[in-house]
Amino acid sequence: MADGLARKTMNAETDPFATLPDAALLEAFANGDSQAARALTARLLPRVLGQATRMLGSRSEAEDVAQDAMMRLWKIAPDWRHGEAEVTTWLYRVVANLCTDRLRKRRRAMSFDQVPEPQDGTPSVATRMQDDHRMQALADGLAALPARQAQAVALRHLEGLSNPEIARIMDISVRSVESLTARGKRALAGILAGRKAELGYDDDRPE
Amino acid sequence: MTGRNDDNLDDLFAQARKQAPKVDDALVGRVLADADATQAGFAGRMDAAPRARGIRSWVRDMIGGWPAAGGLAAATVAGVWFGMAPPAPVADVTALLVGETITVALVPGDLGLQTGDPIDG
Repeated sequence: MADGLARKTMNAETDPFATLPDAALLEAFANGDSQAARALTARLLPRVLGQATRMLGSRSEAEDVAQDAMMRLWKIAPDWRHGEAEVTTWLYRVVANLCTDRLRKRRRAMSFDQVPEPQDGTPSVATRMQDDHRMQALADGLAALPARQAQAVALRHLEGLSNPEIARIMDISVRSVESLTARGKRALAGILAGRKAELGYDDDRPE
Repeated sequence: MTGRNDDNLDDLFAQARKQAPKVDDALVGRVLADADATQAGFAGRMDAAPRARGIRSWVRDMIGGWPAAGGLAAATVAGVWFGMAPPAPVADVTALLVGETITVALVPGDLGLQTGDPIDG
């Protein structure tokens, strides 16, 4: 919130759209304003790409999902109904759905132990490879969960959203969110426990 | 054991949350190209919209525009009024046509305005 406010204050003079809510920009876009798409992209694409990257653990797939999600936003613009949902809430939902679709296809295409081992290299490269590998393993773990559990866990623990926010995004009750995240997290911990050594989580490491 | 697994998972979540990929220009270019192409399609929709509105404006033009539509509305209200509470000369005709007279009290009877009930007694 404070971040958004700072951005609005900072850009108020240079960006005529800075103070407009997302829905108003979307309406301007639908009415043919050519600058509205640029303003919306600058505002929303980083978050969309971030969510997709965190859920998929793959930059290239995340870019595809981000482009797809933004395309859906452009298409729905003329039919957007004010007051029904926040644009960001709607986008969280679209990205979450697109990501679980991808994860499901990935799960079909690749069995769990086919994940490539990290390569040897200089320490910094090795560290980065391990980071990438961990993110990939996390995404594979999410892929093994039922889609709704994976979405709830990702929105809660990767996006850091509150349960009421997740409830609005997933269009379910807060109680259901609590249940999905608890079950999802437990299942994910179990799945990843089998890959501890590979993830660099050694039980013998000093605490 | 489970506690350790949960700790590991929390580490993993924390690491994932730190990822904030930079949006590169090529992706922005693709997204904006999609936006422009989609927006170009709306132009067709907007051209079509006046045709949809055209039926209503066609009816309005046929009856002579908004002033006439206003007059028409007033005439309609007057028609309803006459039907409910016809003035005496009309009432006979109405009674003839409808077969009975319906009286609607528009002013409360206890206001003492009836001609047969003078205030000074």
